[in-house]
Amino acid sequence: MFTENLDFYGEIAQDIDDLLDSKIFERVIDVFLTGAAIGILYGVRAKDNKSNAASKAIFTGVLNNEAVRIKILAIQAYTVSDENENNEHQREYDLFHDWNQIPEPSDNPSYLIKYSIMKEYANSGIHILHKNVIENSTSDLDYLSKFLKYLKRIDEMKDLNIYEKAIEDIL
Amino acid sequence: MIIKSLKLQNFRQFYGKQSIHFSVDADKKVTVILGNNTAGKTTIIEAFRWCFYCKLNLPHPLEIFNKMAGNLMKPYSEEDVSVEVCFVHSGIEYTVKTSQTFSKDEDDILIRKTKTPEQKIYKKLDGNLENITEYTQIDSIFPEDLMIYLFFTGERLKQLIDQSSIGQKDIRYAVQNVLGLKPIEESLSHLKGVSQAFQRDYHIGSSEQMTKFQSEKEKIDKTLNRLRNDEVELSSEIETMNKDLDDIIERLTRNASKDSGETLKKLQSEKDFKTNQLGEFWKKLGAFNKNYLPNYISRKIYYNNEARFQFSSKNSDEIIDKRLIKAIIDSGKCICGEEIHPGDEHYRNLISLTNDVCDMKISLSIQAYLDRRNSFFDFSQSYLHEVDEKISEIFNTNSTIQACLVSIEDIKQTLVGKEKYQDIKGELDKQNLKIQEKNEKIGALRTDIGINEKETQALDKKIDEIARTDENNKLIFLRKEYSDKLYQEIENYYRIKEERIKSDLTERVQKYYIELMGNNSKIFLNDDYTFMVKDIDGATGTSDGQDVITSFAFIGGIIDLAKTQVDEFIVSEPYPLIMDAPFALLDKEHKERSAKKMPDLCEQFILFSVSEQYSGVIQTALSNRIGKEYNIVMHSVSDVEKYSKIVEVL
Repeated sequence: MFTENLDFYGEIAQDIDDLLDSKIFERVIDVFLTGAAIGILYGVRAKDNKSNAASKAIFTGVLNNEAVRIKILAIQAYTVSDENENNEHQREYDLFHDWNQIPEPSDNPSYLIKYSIMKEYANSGIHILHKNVIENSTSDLDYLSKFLKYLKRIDEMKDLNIYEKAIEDIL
Repeated sequence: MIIKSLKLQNFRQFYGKQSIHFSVDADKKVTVILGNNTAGKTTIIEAFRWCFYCKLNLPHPLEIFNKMAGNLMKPYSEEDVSVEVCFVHSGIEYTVKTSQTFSKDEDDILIRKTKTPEQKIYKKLDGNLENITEYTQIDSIFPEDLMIYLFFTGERLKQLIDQSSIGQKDIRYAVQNVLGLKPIEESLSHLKGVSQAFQRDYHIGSSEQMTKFQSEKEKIDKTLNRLRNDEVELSSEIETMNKDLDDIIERLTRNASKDSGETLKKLQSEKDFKTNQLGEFWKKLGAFNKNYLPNYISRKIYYNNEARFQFSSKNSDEIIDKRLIKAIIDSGKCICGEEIHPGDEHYRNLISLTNDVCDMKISLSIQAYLDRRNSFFDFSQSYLHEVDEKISEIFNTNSTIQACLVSIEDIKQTLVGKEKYQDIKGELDKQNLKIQEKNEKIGALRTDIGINEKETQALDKKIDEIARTDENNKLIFLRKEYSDKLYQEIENYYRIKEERIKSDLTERVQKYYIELMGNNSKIFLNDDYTFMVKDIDGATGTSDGQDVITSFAFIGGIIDLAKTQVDEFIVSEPYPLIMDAPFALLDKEHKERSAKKMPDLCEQFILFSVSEQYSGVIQTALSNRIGKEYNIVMHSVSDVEKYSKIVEVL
């Protein structure tokens, strides 16, 4: 069970605001989950810039409602992260060993690390999403065109070297 | 409920005692009541409402009493105004009588002797009428909410046809009450109250933090109440402004040439409709992405994991548990019969195998992982296609709106120079601007409400969390949590049921619409309970006549659906349908179709009409099904003294 809100700061909070304004996303958590998946996919992370005050938050109730989706992404984030210094066999174990369990972060400190890593992936993912959907767009319909184009590019990544392809999206 | 009779005494324009006996014959279920305008057709429908619920909108309370009866009264004398309805409900005959006494004072002035009407309810038992007023409410026999969906005055029918906010409320009411959602909604509202009451019961003295959160919550709740009140007021203001806008557009089109006026009206309505539709499409895209977008992206991570750990071949059926291999080694004999000795080839093979396999718990997790991955993969094939379709809908709708705007502007350009037109156009622009400002204001208000609601929810959680770990509050917390869970369950049930009702309703309305219209147009029920008709060629504009047919189809669909709810909340009961001049806007062909079909929707059909509109196709279409027919005739005693008389024709 989540007992604290999840806060976003500075530029990332602004990115979230823009993405919500585009009407492609309904809630902050939708941006967060999508951003986290993109961050993990591209293998890029960014720490919170707490020099700015938090201006966007996901409330605990919403986090708890989406606990399963968050958990799954958090496990995947930890599996691919540098913090995980285990060998491949152990990483495989990390990925699967409690797939069926619902985590209770207050009783399970290891999950707090996983959630914090996921948040860093989400920060980067949100920025990539913003760059590919919002930047240089001039209207709602522009957002939509770019969003669809970006989704199609992700779909094409299946047969390509993902990291090479991803560089174009990040830069 | 089948209505047997209505008796009036000095009610409005009906002088003395007069009565109508409605047809209760199943084969001849139609009662026709004809009369010229102002003869008193609508008054008869109002009489039912006054009798059942003591409600009547009059400029002055004395106007309920017949003028001529009042003039004939002597000082100090008394007279009653009364309405008596006899009906059969669930096989039992009831009589409801509502009356009020009027008297003349010494100066010959008419006064109400009783300020409020008195209602008496009787039940027929063994041939005798038993007074059951003390322990029976008419609402428990015939709820007022139901009446609004069976008794149609001309004005209410117009509201439904226009899809005004009142009309929308009507449909929502009908769905909620007639189709059995109201009790669930009331349960939800009750449970919300229970949960709030539990939270108020928390002992706050033992925790400073809880005191702080409670006081913050109280403040936010106050703000929320204020914002919600503002929103209601503003919505009503916008509603009024939109009505004024309609008037201005009407004047504008009247001042344009006839052809361009008609086209302008059609284009405006097409543009408004498409704009609403566009909003719905955006909402649907957001909701779709909420459910599926993160999963769609995540499936790529699954591809990567698969490539990295190469576990796709590790189907759980083939995975050997480490503990099993260890047990084989310990036993010294393989399942194939070979002896195993430490250091030999079999021993080395088995040891190497233990390094490659997972334990059973992991194998189950892998299976769960693979199941999820497969569901993501299956889904991802369709996600991109569906999102593409949704985005195309938005683009297409937007193009139609733009095309409408261009055409509207073109027509307006042709009208430039016509002096009066320009004045009204200026008025229209001002009004549009005002509405836009109000809409922006209400948008901001709704955002504030959303933010405050989220804050209050977050505080609720914090307060609950403190209560959960506090010995003094633990029990109250558990009770509250139980009530919250119950709320969630019922809310889910409500949503599922509402969706099902909407889909069943659309199906039935569609069926009636095709029967009444005689073509294959399609009807769609929007999320806000407004409805739209799409022609076979996909066009969405409708004429006034089509709107009437759509309303009939809705009434039919709702009554039909209510009768299928027997297994849930509604007990199937015959009901009358009472309509005032419903066919006025229809052409000859559709008048005939509707007049033939409407009596099939109910067990008793009472039709009020102006004689000229009735004679001809309607009369012919109904001829075999009329059980009773009355005329309301106006009698003039002098230039100012007039009264209406009900005359039985058939």
